[in-house]
Amino acid sequence: MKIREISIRNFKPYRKTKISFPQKGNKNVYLIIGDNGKGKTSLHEAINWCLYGGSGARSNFTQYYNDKAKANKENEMWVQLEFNHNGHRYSLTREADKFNYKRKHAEENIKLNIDGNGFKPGNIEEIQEKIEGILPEEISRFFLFDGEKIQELAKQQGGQEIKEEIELLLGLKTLQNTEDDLKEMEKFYSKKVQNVEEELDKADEVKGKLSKKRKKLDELEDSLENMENKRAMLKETSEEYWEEIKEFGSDPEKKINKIENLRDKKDEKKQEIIEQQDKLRKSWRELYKIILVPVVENEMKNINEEIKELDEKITKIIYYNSKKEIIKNSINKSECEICDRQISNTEKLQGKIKKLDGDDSVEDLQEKLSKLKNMKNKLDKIETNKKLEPAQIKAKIENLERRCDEIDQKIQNIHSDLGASTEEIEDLKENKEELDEKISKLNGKIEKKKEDKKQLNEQIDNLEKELRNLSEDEKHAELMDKKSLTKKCMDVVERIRLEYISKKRDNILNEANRVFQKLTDEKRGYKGFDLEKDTFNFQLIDMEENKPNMGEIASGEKEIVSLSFILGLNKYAPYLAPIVMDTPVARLDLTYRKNLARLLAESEGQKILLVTDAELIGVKEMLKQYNSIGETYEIKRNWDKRESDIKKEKLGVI
Amino acid sequence: MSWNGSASVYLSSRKKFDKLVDYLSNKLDEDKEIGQNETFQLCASVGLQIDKRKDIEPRDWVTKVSNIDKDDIIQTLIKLKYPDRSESEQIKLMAKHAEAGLHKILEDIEETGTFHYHDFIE
Repeated sequence: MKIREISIRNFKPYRKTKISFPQKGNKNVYLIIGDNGKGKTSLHEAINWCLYGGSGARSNFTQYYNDKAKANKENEMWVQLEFNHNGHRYSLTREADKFNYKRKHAEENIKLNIDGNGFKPGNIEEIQEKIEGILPEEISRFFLFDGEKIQELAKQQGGQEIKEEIELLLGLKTLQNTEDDLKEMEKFYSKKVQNVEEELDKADEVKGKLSKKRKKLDELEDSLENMENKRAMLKETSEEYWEEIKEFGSDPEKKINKIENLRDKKDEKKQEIIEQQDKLRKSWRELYKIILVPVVENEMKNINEEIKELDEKITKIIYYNSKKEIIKNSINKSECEICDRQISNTEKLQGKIKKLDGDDSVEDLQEKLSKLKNMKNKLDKIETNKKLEPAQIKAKIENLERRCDEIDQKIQNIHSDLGASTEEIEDLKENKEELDEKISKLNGKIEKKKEDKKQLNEQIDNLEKELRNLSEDEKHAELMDKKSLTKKCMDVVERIRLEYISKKRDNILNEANRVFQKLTDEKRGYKGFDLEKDTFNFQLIDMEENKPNMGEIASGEKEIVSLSFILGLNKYAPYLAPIVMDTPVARLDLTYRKNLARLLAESEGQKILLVTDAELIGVKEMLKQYNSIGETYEIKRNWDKRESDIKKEKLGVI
Repeated sequence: MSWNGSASVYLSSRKKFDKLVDYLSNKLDEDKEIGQNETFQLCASVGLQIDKRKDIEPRDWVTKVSNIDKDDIIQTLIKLKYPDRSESEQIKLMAKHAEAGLHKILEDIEETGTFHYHDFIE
């Protein structure tokens, strides 16, 4: 990277300024001269701001925006840096826009042209990334540095920061990134391995289930096979029985059916016999009532006559009693109760009463009548027209029994025809029926088992599918290999990085010590300095190999150490960037300044020195001697307007 | 008023009585056999019908009044037939009629092999 031109608009004291850095062979040192307060540091800041931006919209407005432009609300602030890099022409412009005076904000925008073409316009992040690729901000302090602060590099306990920056500067970021990527990969594989292990656990669980199901299936199949074997045996035996039955003549089944029919008929007859027996029993039990019918009829006749007589007798007695009552009353009154005629002769009437008196009382007769009626009611229970014929029923039973015997005879005849006894045939048939029933039951059980087997097979299929979807040991092994390989790579990369750093550190240290030797002389009493291996802290070494306390050495010496280190570092940096030094030699005595000027003149790369007049003493002569000054500028300051501008130095001024 | 149910009723021959029971139970299954009560009623009805009595000597078969004649028909007829006799005499008379009936039926059976009950109906 070589800066060709810097243009500034309304940035700090600069209203509108342009500085060119013409490329003239080895003339690669550019001087920008300005006394304190004129704007050297502001120019340094402008370059930094253009490359990396500020710390926010507020600082843009309050720190960088030119006061006069701010007062005029000019709404314009930018810095443009034109430079060459790797054979291309770059033009980078950073500007402030969206000025908000109330909130004191100014947002940033950035534009980049490469060889005249806009690079990702509007995409600030990518443009910034591109710039970072050319000169990362983290290491910019090794190129764009303030001489008054450079000694801080040599402060105590600053090593780690330097170490990281050196790594970045040496292009080890890639290795570090690789290492980080590998760490991420290892984490990724660890996670994967964990997932796979979880899946393997699940797979073990599924395998367990599968094993149980398969065992159950085996048992089921064995059981099924046993049942089918048993069924086959039973069928065979049943057929054997049938063969035996068939041996009893032609069409034994028909004969056996006939026997069955005859038996059914016999059962019907027996049922009829039972019914007739009930009738016969009833008939015998009721016969006495039928036999008694004439006796009862005779007695009923007597009873009815007697009842009639008793009724008449009772009516008559009641009549007589009434008549007696009237006569008695008439006698008592001596006057007929009916016709009111006077009765003179009561004796005749008394005689009539005597004639009317009888032996029976009405109550006795009524009791007798009641008894008779009661007995009549009992005898009425006999049904005189009832006909029960036990003999006929008995004959029916005998007939039915005969029919049964005939049926038995027929059955016997059929059995004789079959050539076997009833028992034999029945036994065979019974055995066959028993077997057929067993076979039928077995069929049901077999069907049930088959259904169970089907379901079990489906479950096994599902489990196998599930298992196929789960990781296998091979996958685990493969991932473990990858994880292990990643770890190895990580270790290798780290080792390489550390070895590289160590080697580079030695090279940088050698070069820095070479620079140190050129900057100093033996009178100073230092042999060189060391960069501690692990901490990267600077350590001076005196002629007696002693290491003095770095906190106690002079600021100028620290600056020499830091400058030696930076110049040594730059030689090995893959970034070829200009060194912009702000007041680099203010603390150095004349000898150091001359030594430094000689070193700068001899070294490659662009150097822009922002210096005061005083700093130039001894320096400029040395640079001129080496004919290395590319251009000299002077910062002009209008103290009244509080503005600065940069102009080419007029000849002979210095 | 019914007779005292605990009074005893006698017949002269258990053997003869059983013989008639067997005859009546012929062609009947064991659980349907004719009982002694029904047999006694049949004997009494025949005795009454032919109006014959036979003395009971010896007393070989006995039952309780309450076991026989559940419908009180025979009792009623005896009471009508012998209204002036005492209850115990009436019971004895009933038994005598039954004894006569038993002998009549058995004679018939012994002679012809059959009880010609039609003779007492028509």
